[in-house]
Amino acid sequence: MSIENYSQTKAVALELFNVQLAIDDQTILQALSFDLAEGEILCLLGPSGCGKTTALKTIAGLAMPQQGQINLFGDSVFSDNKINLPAEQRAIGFIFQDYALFPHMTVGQNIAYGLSSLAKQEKQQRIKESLDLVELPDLEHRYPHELSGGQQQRIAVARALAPKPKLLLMDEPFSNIDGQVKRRMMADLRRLLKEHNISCIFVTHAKEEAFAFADKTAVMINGHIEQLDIPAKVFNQPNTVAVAEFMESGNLATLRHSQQVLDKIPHQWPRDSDNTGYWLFKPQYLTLSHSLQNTGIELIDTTYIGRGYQHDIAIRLNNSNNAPTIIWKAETESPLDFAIGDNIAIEYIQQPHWLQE
Amino acid sequence: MNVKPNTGPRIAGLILSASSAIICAVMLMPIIALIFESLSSFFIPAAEIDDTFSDLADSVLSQYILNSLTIVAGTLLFACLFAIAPAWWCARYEFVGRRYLQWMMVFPLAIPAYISAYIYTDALDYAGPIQSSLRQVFSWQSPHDYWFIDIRSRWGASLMLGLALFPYIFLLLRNTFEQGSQSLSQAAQLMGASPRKIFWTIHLPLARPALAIGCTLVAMESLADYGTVQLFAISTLTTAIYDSWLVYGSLASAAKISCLTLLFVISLVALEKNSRKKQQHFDSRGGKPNDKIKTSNAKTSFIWLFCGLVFCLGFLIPLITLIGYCADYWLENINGDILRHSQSTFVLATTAAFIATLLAILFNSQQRFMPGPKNQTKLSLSSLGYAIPGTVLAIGILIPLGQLDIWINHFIQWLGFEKVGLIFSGTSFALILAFVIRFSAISNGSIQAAYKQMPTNLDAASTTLKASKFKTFSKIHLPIMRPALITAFLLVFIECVKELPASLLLRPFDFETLATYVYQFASDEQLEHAASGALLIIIVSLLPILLLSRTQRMR
Repeated sequence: MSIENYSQTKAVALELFNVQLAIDDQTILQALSFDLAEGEILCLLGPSGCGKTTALKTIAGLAMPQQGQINLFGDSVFSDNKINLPAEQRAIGFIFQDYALFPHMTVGQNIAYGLSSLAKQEKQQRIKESLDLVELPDLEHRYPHELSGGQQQRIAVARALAPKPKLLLMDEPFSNIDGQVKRRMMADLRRLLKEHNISCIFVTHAKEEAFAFADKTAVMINGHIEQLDIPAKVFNQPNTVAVAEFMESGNLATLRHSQQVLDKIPHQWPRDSDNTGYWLFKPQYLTLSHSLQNTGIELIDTTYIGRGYQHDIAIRLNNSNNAPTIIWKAETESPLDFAIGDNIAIEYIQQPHWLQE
Repeated sequence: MNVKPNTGPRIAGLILSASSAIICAVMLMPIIALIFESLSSFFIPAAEIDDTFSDLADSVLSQYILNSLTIVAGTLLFACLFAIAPAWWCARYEFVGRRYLQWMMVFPLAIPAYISAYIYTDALDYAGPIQSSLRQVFSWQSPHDYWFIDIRSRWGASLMLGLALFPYIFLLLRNTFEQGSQSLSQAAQLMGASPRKIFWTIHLPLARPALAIGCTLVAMESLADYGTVQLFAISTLTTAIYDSWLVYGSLASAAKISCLTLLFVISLVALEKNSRKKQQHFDSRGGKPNDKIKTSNAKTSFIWLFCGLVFCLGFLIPLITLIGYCADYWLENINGDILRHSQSTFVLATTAAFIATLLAILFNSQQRFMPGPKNQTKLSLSSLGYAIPGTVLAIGILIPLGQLDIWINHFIQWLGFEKVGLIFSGTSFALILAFVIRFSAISNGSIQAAYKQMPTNLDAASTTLKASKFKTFSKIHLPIMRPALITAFLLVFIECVKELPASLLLRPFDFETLATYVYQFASDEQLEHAASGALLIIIVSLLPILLLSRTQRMR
């Protein structure tokens, strides 16, 4: 099933249109526009400082843009300074990177904080439900500092979900949790969100988290979304060089600058396209072979990466011996039977992805 | 990240914003009044100019300035002598009793310099115990037979002030030396530096900003001192201000000397600001703190000898002497006056501390909820008073409040009623205002630090959980900063109890605070009769030190 069909069957949870935000003349968000369908999990992925946390705070009403429009379930919550619904009225759940649990309150009091409109008994019931939801039913009377990092994160989830928000925002929610625990928590949380049909945006700089957790991924560079699609497509078919470089999608070559490089690859695909673009060569589709001729390509390093081997190869940009080189990556399942420093020939067994510049 | 507010109860916000602006203006009023009063003589017909100031300027003012500067320099010298080496020892060495010694070195802060000054004058006097026994031992007959140190001099005053103020430098330096990252000294060591070289090239340069801040504090306090220099009959800028007003009755000349004193203060603050800018670069946090080195017995003895001497001179001898006075003159010391003055001091200090803490909450929470240059300026301006010497501040308060009282009385008379008297300048109002202006910096600092430690994400979390600003403030901020609130209140309270120069100038007729009461007796050479008051001041002053030592030990 394609993601487009999936989106069309759902109501729109959130729309951003041309949101601009600058602090002291420095542009943080630049013409930010995207949609989020109900029940969908979107990952805002990007390098640190790209504005992804600000984007999240803008949606929550914690930061005020200079212009643009934000609609939440069809209602405008921000519109060019004419409408600006305060954060406390937006009914958005927010999970902070440091969890921001109130240190002087027990877990129960933390969860009850957002439930002041409920009657006492209802409130107690909701606290219990929320704790059950994150599978920590016995922690109600503990203080945050008595909990482990993973427990704190789950209490933060419980607190954010207790008022039953229509949209959940998470700022690097997994960055303080390591390894095994993180993978299990991501799976648990994803299941929880899907079961309750909660729309969610989460922010991270780790593409593995986007792959594991998100339905869709938006790559943000310099306050602007470069590409929004399902994670696999963003990774394999990046729209721009910036996305390809951030995702580490593969080796880039442009006809304009590295004609020589491309000439070294036997080609089975049309190369007569315009010069204004890049070819993307995935490391796993590059095959390397030992060559006795001077190919101008040399193996310079090999690293074991668990599922196989990664090789750095230096490609000389012209035929002279001290010509500048570019470094490409190649991956193989088994070790190569030749040594570092050897001359090699390369082949590409697929059609490379074309990026229009 | 800049989190901008969007709505909320706008009117409440406006009222708070306006009231904080007005309070700020009131807190700045003394400085403005001083400048205005100093300049106003240019616009007054020549015949009416009171030329106390020009008389002073022609004759003795330069001597006063020289005295003030000499005492500041001398105090700094003594304070550094007493503070730097002990700070290093306590921070870097482990020796028998270090835990006690590092707090004993702070105790002298509790003894006001004028009390030490009185006690040492008494002890080193011609008729005092030391000279008497020397005469007996060597059978000298008259003062011409021998030379003896004269404590009632500029260097004597510097020594007294140095003994009372050095703990500022000691505390700041000890913390800096202790926090210095271990990896830095290890890196230096691995590159072949000797311990001596590491001290001079790594630790001391890193501690320079702290040293500068400590020295600035000591310099400002010694410049502002009134009690000690007056007891020793040394004329300085502060005594000149005092005399201009109380002896010559010239407010204009007092204002001019005050402005002159402020110029010195401003240069000191500028120096300190400069050093603080550098501290940002020097800040080496995150590293593992230094391990303490075990000392040899000889070194331990030397450390204890040196620090013990300073402790005795700065704390133990004055304390024991006061207790002795109390025992000798217990009838004079336990009387209704002391009780009455303690009571009024308590009420006064509590009121001022309460207001100062309240204002600190107002200014700091405003900056928290609406961060921006406007609120930051208000916050900084409200902390300015700490730099103003008490005497200067008192004159700055007398000018506008006196004028206000004149207007009010004219107005009341015009309405056909009896004069109401000096309802602002002649009541505790002036004193409380002075305390609040002078010590708001302390409560501000305490609450600012608490806010800095409180992640702004807590506010954001509260907001996303549908809480109003007021709820965030009352349910999150206030409970979390409760310890800081108590600290702020206590510190201001203690400063108010100790405060002397402004209290002397501003206290209402027939009203004494503990400090002025004790000081009156000291200047009448009768401290023996008020020793219990002095002991009370010392006990109250010891409170923050004990509090501080407890929290630090817990860490």
